[in-house]
Amino acid sequence: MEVGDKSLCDSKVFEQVYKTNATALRNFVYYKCGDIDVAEDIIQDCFMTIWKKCSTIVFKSVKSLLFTMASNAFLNMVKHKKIVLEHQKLNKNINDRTNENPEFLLEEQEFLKKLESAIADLPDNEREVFLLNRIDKKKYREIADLLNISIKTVEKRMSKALKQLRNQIEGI
Amino acid sequence: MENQEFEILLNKFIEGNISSEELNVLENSSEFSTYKKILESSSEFSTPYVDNDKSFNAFMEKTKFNEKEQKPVRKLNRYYLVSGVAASLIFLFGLFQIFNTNETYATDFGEQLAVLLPDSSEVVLNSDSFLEFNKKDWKKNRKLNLKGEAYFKVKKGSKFEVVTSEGSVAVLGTQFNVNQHKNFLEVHCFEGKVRVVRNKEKFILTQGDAVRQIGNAAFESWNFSEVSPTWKNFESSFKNTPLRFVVQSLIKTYGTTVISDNVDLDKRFSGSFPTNDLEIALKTITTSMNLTYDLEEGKKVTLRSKE
Repeated sequence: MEVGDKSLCDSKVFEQVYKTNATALRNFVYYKCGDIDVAEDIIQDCFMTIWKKCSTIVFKSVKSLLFTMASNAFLNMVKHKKIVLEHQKLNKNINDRTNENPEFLLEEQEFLKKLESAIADLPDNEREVFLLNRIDKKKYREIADLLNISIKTVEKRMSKALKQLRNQIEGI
Repeated sequence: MENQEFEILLNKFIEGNISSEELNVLENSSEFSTYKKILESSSEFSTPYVDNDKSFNAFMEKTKFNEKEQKPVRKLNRYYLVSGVAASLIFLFGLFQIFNTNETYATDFGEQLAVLLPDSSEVVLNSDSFLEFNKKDWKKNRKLNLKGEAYFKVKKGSKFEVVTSEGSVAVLGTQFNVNQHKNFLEVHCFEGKVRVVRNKEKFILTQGDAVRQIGNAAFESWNFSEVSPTWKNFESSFKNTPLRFVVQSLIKTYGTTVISDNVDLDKRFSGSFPTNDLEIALKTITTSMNLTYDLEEGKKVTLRSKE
């Protein structure tokens, strides 16, 4: 065994892997299916498989493996809910931003609602790229690695997503 | 602005590696403000919150349930595996040493070895031969395994048996010589009575009788007058023996290699050769068999027919 090569079979190592990757993985599945409970189930199944096969998995490859597995698990699902996102401003604005112009607030709220529904209407592959970048703050390179696609594809999906969002919001 | 160019710049803006001039170009375009707002607003969205500690605990509950069905396969550390195998080999070897009471004796080319058996019977092993018997069980079971040639002087007692791959010789108390090669068994009885069994055929010898069986041919028997085998006195003697087995004896005695060229190895040889002088031995054999020989480096013998 190589020095510094951590074993997934070590429960401490596994716990760390779980806690560092769970959120990103759950979000990723959520961007696809729009149901946080389903997302949680899927990621737990993925982790279960990894835990059972811990001895055969190289530590370095575990992250991309998790994403591939989650992606495949989602392919088997038929049910598809509309994605619901929470906006920090939407929740905060009643308390924090009462000093702003109420007209502006209303406009802003409307914009966010439109944006949310426009995001929900995006094709799955564009939405996941867009949200991995915006919410999970992942660089294009990272997204490309996780989804096993090229950076060019990431750029294309991002551009298409943005165009469609703008069109829908501006009502074109 | 070109659509494609705009997309490239927008992607650069998102990735945060846009230059100030490029940013200027973007900001001058009409659609950029909307894009910027979309990007800024969407980055403040969040997904429904799930506590990862709780999630992990729930997962662990599931694994416990699952482990009852199937334990995760753990890979054995290679070093443990190697040392484990080594340890069990040593352990098995130890067991073998404790329970293996077999005594073995072996002679090399040109060597002879006298062995005193537990009942003070005597065995003299001729060269390149192997003898094995069970020391512990000896009183009940006087049985030896032999490969090669040996002379036995057996004390009277229970059945005494010499087992070779070419047959067995059983006696009650006697002196006899057993010579075994592959497909060849020859027994001389010097005293008492000997029973030879080979391929389920029996042959009983009394004093002065000798018997030989080659391959599956019939037993050949003859009488002799010596009181002990001649090889004990540094002489190997043969009576009407195929040259093939004479050559094998020569190889066993001197450890030479023998190449025969155009020689009929089934031709029979009667006579003897000394076991301590190769030159004389070769001369003895070749002269009587009408052959010539070459001896190189004292080890390589080539036999040729004179004709």
